[in-house]
Amino acid sequence: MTTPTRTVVVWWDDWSVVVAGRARDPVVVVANNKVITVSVAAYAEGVRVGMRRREAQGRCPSADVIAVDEGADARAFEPVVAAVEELCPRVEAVRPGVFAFAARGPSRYFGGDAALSAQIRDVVIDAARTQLGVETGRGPGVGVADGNFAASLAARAAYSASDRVLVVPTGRSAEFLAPMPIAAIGDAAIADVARRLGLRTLGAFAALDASDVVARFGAPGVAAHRRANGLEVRALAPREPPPELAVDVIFDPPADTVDRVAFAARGLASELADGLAARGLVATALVIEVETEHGERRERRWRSEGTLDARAVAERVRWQAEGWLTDVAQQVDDDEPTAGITLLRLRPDEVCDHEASSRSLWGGSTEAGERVERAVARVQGLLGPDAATTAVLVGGRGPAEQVRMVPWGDARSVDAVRATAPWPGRVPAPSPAVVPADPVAVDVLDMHGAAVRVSGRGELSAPPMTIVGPHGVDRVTGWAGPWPAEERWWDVDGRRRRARLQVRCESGAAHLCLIEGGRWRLEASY
Amino acid sequence: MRAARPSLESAAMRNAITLAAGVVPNDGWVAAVGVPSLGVLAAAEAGLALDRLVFFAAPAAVWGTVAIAAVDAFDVVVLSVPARPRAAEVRRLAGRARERSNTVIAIGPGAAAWGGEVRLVTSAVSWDGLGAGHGVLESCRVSIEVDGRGSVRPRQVDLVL
Repeated sequence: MTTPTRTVVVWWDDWSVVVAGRARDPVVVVANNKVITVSVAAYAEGVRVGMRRREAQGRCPSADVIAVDEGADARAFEPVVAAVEELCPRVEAVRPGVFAFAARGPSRYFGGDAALSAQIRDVVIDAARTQLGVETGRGPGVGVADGNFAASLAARAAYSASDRVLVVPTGRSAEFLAPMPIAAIGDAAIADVARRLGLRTLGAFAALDASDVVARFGAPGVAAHRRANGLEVRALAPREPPPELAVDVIFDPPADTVDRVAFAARGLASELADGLAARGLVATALVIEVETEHGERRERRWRSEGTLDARAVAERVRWQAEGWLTDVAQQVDDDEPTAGITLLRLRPDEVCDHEASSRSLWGGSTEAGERVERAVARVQGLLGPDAATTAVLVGGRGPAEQVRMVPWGDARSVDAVRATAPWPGRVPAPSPAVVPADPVAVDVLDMHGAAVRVSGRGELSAPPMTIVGPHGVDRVTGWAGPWPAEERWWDVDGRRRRARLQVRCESGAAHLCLIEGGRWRLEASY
Repeated sequence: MRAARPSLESAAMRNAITLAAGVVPNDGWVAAVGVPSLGVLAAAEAGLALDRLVFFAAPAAVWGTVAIAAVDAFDVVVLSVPARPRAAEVRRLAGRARERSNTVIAIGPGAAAWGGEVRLVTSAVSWDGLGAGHGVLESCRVSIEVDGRGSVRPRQVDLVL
């Protein structure tokens, strides 16, 4: 049996909060209505990761709720990882705020795991402070143990130690893991079943017979069982990936915007995934490599807790490009040459056999979905990413405000709270069938031919009689409103006062008219 | 799908949305080609799944290419036809749509040039629910002139949407 690699994991759990410059305040970071990061102050009030947003606000009403910005988190994290890489080779980013590396060499150099950990902790805090120029709060936890999984848990447990370092002695990982709650297993479905079977700790799960676990849970169960036993999961099928699986794209002219790199990355990521899938493999670690027009080469290893699918790969390239390109942009200030990216290469660094769970078996992708995917790729290839979009409802008052168009391939993430919150002043359904991007100006006139106005108290100066617009003069046969919308009244520069009016015309048309600053526009038509 | 007068264009769009929502199969995909102004909220209210409704930009120069890509892959295509489409392109598109037996709902200035199976012309619209300063738009009645090939018999239908 192979012994797991001695691994150091640095786990900065409130990284998003630090990046936002709010390390000292009660802050809760949410994504999809779930809490994903909690500041120290909010934690003290009882807010925990995984809570619903409403519950978190109930526990800590003074907390500010901010939406996650993974791009910013990753951008700020890149220099931190780079600083550590000067001391230790082969640093693997896991996600913004978390990275890992093998302890063996560096540990010997710095005089033991504990000394190494303390050193790394200080380097990380230092790099973050110079990079961000903000309060870094309590900093990261550093854990050293046999294997990535145990080291990750050790890093999180390190927060209770005074020096934020926890070293699990060699060969004692299983012992360290045993009392941990089953939820830490890293697979929600297995944790759930195990809990109902009365297995409340990792130790209880680890004590099961391996053949029973595989019979009940299949391949993911085996992986979880090995983790719980403090063994390397990847020891199952470690493979040297065939070199021809690497894919690359050349930029001519060099790409100097994140969008261009990210767009190319999407195609490249699916190419990589196809190549792997054809051999029945999946990647668990990946090297993203770029070359600039001045011949500089940079690369970063990314490790995934699960497996890296095309979307996850594309996302990481985007983060990485943001980090590198902002780095380049900062060099301009130092009179250093700027350089666009000329080459992007994705190289799987570690692969394992694709488990029996093929995507289509679980409804992940269908034939129709693949056809659509290809059609979209063709159009985006022709006209750019914005040429194929889907709509996301984001909440708001007017019909245009409630919709955001997202390029196909980008995350359709929604601030669920904003989308479902009540919006006083929202015009009720049915909604207009036509919502032009640039509403045309119209005149809304009263019986004397004077423009209809809306008072500060939301009252019409006179009933509307005619609308003079692009289709000529139309007599108004019915109207309702106005629905006043006073937005951001607390904000001197950002505030807007608007009102909407529904009108029905003799021609049969019905419109939604919007007045702002005394001018009417035809916002939408029913 | 056409409007008899410019002022009825939004009603024609509403018909197109309703029709698309009616014919799209469960888990089916809908493309909106060259119709950025299609009301997303109205589409959602009509029952279209927004994550399977893809909007394509279709500048005149590549309209045919984009339209073909959409017709090849989507179950329902709401297609804005430019004022003077190239006849060969339209024939090719119509042929492709028949071959793949999906639904193309042609709208826009050139919709008349589209030789579809059925022609729907929105000739009159009236909205209910709105008074003089009170109420809110509730439902609309549309008159549609139906005409088409083969067994389609010309007639007028009134619908409440």
